[in-house]
Amino acid sequence: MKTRTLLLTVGSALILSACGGGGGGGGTSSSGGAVGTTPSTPNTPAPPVSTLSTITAANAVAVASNAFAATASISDSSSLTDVLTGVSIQPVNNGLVPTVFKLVRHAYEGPSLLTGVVQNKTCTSGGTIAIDATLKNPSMLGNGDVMTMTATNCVENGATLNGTLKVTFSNVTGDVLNSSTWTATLDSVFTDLALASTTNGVANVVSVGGDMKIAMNQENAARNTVTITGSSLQTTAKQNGTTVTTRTLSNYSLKGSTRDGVVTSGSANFALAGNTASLGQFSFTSQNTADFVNVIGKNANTGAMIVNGNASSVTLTALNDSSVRVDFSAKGDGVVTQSFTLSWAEFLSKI
Amino acid sequence: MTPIFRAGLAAALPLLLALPAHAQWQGGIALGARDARHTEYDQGGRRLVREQGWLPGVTLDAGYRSGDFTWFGALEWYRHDIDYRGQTQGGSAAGSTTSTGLAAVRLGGAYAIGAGYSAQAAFEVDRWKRDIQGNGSSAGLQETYRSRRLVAGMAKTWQPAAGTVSADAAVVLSEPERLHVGFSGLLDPVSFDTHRAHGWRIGASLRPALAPYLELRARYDWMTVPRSGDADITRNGQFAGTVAQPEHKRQALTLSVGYRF
Repeated sequence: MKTRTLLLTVGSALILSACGGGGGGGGTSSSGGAVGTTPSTPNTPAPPVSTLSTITAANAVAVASNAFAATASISDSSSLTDVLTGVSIQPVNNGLVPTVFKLVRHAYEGPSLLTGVVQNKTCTSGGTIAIDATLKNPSMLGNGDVMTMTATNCVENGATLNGTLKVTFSNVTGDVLNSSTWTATLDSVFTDLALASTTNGVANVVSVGGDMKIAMNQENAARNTVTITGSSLQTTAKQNGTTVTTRTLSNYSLKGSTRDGVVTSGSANFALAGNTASLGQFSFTSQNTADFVNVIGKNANTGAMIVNGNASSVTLTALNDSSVRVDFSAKGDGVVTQSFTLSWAEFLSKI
Repeated sequence: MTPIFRAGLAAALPLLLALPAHAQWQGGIALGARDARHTEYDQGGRRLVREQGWLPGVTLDAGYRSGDFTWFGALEWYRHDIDYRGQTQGGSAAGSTTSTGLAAVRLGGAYAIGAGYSAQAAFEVDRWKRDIQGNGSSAGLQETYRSRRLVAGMAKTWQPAAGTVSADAAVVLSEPERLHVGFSGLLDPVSFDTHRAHGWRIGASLRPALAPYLELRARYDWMTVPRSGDADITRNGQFAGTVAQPEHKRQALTLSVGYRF
């Protein structure tokens, strides 16, 4: 019996993405000389004002690092090969998707009892979960199944879950819970779903709210493809009770696949806004220019993405599985103003 | 028969049968049928369970009038299998049968105000036995609800040519139900309380002039009990989650034909 979880990691991965402007000087951007005056033409509409943040040389690496985090979970081997095993989500070292899918499985587990009183089930390592579901088959996930799960200090995969998740299933073929060949689409709505865990003595809490649609095609035990889309997903990350980041992902889409131990992720396209302690308020858009590819358990060895700010941009390129290059364009016109080469570990720490 | 009914019958029958008819004493025995409907709702207001069916039963009552005061007591017992339309705990639609027993004992008094009106109040103990049968693919539940209530209201009596007509209405205030649940051996039995509740009871009766010893009566009961808090459940002594009684509505239409003496 092989269990699969669907990839909400992108959604959780969206927790990681963020980056943005903030001021900061420095960099090699040129500044102009005297500014002449040009007679304005009456009735000429004012140019649109960009709401995106400005990317500077000082924050370019952090911008790229935060944006990459949005696609990192798709690149994460464990997230696709066996979605139950977990997705590394910084700073929370637990997968939201496998945790959530474990909750889904609770609705189909255990002996069947008729309703008179209603039962809240225990979670694997403590706490309870109340499942309000409409299922066609009590032992098999099917089209049209709807379930709302409310977790109360529910401990799964070493993380404590509180909050509500509603999932509607469609495009279901095969036995999602018990086979390696199946398809399914999950329309998910998070309502203050918080995932808490402790890593290296740091208490991390990630709260998620918003929508996410996950369409997954599991071809066999080692091959699958996933498409994740949504209109809005808000995440808040806290460490030791202090808010570290707040992010809102808008009109997002990501695609990924796993083939025999090699993970490919790309086609990411999203707008991200929020606030971090290091960057302040930010807003930018991001998209892949080349798919990231990595061997399971290692960093991407190829791939690229561009992050666009207000008349500025930064491009991340994976050189190999040990290092990356970050190219900053002060005018956002593709002309590289400044480049940074650093290790993957250092790059990922710049969030 | 429930212990409540046995005790009441043992006390009432000798009193009713041994004592000669007396102007101050009243009594009656009625055979009836009760259309009972029980529905449960989740926290979003969606209906989870609907049980409905007719239960045959019997009612015994006795009263003693002294001036404007009348003291009365009553026992009623209804039992039968009724239809269950609900779902499994996981949310799959399910049908079955519920073996249902409804018993109550009531003690109270009435005061004649005048012009045919009287004020009434009674203390009532209610017991609802609900055995939801397993249906082959899902195990059933064995539930017993006990509650104590205050029933207070008014009655009006008319004396048309056809006979004696009465109508009554009362508010019913209930203490939290004490609920005991068995899980067909899949979990350890558990007992817990629900919440206070209130409801209504209205009734009407006719004693025909041509047969004053007969009484035709109809009564409608309605009560909503809020969702209970969560109670821990165990399996072989180990914590296995929590259980709660959803918001439920109890409705019943009782029709009876009685003999008055």
